[in-house]
Amino acid sequence: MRNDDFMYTRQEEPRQAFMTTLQARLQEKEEKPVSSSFSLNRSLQIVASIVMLCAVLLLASSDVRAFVMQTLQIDGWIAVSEQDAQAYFPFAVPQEIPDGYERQIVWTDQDGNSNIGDVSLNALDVGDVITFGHIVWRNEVDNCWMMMTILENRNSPEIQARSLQQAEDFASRYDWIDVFDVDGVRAIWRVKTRSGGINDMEIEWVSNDNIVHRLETSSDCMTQEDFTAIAQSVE
Amino acid sequence: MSHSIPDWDTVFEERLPRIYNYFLYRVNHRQTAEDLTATTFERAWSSRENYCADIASFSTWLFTIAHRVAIDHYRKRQPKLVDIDNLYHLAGAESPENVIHAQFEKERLANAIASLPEREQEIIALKYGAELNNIQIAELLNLSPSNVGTIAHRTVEQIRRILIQQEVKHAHEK
Repeated sequence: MRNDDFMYTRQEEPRQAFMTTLQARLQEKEEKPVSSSFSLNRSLQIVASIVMLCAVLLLASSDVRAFVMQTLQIDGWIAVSEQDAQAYFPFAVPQEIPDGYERQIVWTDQDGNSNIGDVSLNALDVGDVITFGHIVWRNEVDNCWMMMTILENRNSPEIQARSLQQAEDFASRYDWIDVFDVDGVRAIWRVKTRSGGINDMEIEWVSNDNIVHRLETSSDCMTQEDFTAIAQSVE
Repeated sequence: MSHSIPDWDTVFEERLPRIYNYFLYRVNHRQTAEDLTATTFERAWSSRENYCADIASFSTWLFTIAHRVAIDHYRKRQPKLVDIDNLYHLAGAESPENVIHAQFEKERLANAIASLPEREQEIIALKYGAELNNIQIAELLNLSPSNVGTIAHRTVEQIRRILIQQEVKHAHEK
């Protein structure tokens, strides 16, 4: 008898009824295909314009370490695949990453969770490497989109500090807040990564009443609950 | 990028019991373990097109989702639950005395695991609930395989001591 055999004694077989029900539920989802049609409606035009502006401004400022995420609506958002993001946001999700930038591979799922994987953080320890990342969400109901862009420099505290100031300047200069104030949710989001990684995120945002809010996440995903909590605090 | 994903019937047959037992070891409550397992599979199913075999094995990908589902669950800070339904689940050919004794032993082990720090609980659930090896656990938790092995070994010894102490105490009370 192995020394740790007793540790397996808590195991049990899942109920057959549970497995059958779950399998049926998933197959039912499969039979409800998601429409792949895409129309550039007014909301998308607004988002696209601002996202393009965001991308141009951020890319133009190579020492920015900040991201700004805009939300149009909290409920009903789904994350889209890398391929879809490139197809619908070719200007903001470039196929070719500019010199000096490195793409983060982003996994997304339809529950609105964003999973950033394979970031190769250890490979970025040397030099002034700036990481480029993005996550795109789509709202099926309104066919609206939102996008988070990440530009960060992990190796220069001076640049990091200046970047946060630049993020604030961004908001004051370009007045994004009003443009995106659709459902009473308007915010500037900034991310600060601790210990050189994206896994520990501290997100700050400014609500309508100019109060700075802060959210700390212990993992590399933001859940629907996180979004809901943020929306409630901003409203 | 390669997006090959195993046949879902096979996934259900092979992976669901392991995911389920991972959660059972974490939460010690069958209904909650079923709910978390369902959430994991629904998320995996919804985003299966995004799975990339170049980035991680399917098992790692699935357990990464499960790990995040567990984190989300603990964010809610729900009180620990005791699953009395387990008594009925075990009922079968065995005598009622054996069923109760087996359930008692399971509860003792579950309570000992629940008394451990978060990281140790996670490693025990992955190793003995999901039956992952040290390399797979290391990949999920961003630890070295040897570190996982060391922690697991120490934790099992700690659990053993807890159970022995409980038995001694129980004998004294009798």
